[in-house]
Amino acid sequence: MATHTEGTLACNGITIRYAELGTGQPVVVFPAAGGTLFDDVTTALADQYRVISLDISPFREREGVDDVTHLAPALARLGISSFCVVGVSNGAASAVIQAVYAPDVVSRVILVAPTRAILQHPQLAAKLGEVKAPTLVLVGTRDRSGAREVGQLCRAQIPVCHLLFVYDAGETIAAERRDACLSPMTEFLEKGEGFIVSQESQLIRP
Amino acid sequence: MKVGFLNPMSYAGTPTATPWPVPPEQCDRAAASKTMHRAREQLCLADKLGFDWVSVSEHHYSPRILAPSPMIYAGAMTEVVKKAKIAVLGPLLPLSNPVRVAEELAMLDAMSDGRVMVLFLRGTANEILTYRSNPAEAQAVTQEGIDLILHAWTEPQPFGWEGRYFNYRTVSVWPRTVQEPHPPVFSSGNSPESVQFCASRRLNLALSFIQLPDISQRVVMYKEAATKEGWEPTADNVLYRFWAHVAESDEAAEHNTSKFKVHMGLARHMSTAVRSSLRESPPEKLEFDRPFLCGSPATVLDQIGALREAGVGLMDIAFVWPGLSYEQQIESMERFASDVMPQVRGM
Repeated sequence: MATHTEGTLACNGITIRYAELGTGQPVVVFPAAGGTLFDDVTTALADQYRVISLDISPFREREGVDDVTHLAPALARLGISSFCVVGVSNGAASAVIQAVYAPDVVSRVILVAPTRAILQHPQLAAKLGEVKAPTLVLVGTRDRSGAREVGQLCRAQIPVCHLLFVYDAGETIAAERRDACLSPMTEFLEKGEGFIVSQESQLIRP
Repeated sequence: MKVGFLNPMSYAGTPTATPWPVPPEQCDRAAASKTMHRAREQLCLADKLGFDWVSVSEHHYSPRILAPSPMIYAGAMTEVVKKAKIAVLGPLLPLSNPVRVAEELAMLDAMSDGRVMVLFLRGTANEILTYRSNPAEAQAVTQEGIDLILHAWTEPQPFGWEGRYFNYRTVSVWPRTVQEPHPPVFSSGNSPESVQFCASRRLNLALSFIQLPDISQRVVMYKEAATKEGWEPTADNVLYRFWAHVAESDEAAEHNTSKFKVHMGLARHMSTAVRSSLRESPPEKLEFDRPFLCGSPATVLDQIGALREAGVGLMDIAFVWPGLSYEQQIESMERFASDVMPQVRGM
């Protein structure tokens, strides 16, 4: 089993920790606060992608300063000039900020069980319409945290946004229904909006 | 209490002995047409007599009930039934595309100016064989289908669905249902597990062809489960479907219905190999000696009182029984409407 590469990034006067796994197109992950840098789904993504998961907890301690907006130049020092972002739980707000403030380098946005942090962030809810990258929001049908409402808002405000319900999952979708998350996420990363088109054969017996 | 008329859609031709599936060659084409015309006649009568709803169910490959597509029939109902609600009780979700079901019901709700009510079912053992569904998964498929349909009716924006049994990347149902947020939805409570599901989704409970003690037990279970979910259902949330025969006297009712029994389970006629493969499907019902409500108007009122005591507020009644002529069915239905229904309203 592949092991993570760990390192630090200097960003806006703060040092943040990151872990990296896999090779291929870069996918930057903003994990849930207090959780591990890699969950079952982001680990599986590393089979096809270069996944960089950021511990941005130092940012959260500096209330009112959007350090996340300064991440793109820091990531460039890792040789990453264009990337997809994945925001998990309360990490979703950081993923959206990245998409809003660095629209030219973010090619896809995936929000997994986004929390109300997006709605509570000053001005962020009003800026959803500025997200240029195709966006996918995954919400569990048993999630009562407000993710469904956040997903509905994203679907209504972000110009190209798909809301996907993961049946019979709560807030921890990745742990509860790993493959149900992984399949649409990898298809979306690969095809963007084209992920709504099925390529599966319906032929029963040739 | 409220009362609905379950249209029996009984085949108007000569009954066959073969249980399921019945060879199509035994279907008299003219009799099939006559069946549909009679059913329409009964619908109009039920509406005129003041039944609160008229209902249709879904059954396949048999002359017992000629309703393989309840949606087609419900569409016709919207044109001839002017006052009563249109009850689709109900589509078999393991045999269906749930998104299509959501679309068709929304269309019906628009056509009927918001008179649709619906019960989603998994189907009995024989129905599961119709399109080769897996009986072991029927309950899970049905429950996911219900959740998907509820989302399809309530989500304001297009969405995708990554289910265990259904997978859609784009769902965006038009038209929206006239009723807000959606038509009244019933879910089966014929098993303890399904009662729990029903309460957890705040759906109305539908019971059918079970005995009175079981009805009471299921209603108690439903209310307890609902309390845990933070809501309190009433009798108006509980529907019971059954057969009834009302005659001028108890003796006449007994005479009219005692010649035949009814056995609900068609799987008992299948081979051992098939039946053993169906072991995960709903248990086959036992024989019934007589309709649930049977007797003179006074006797039937007493029987309804017991039903009300058990917690039922909605009755979905089929006025059929083997051996009853079409004319006897109509007579029973009319007697119920004139001599029973007025008192039922106050219960």
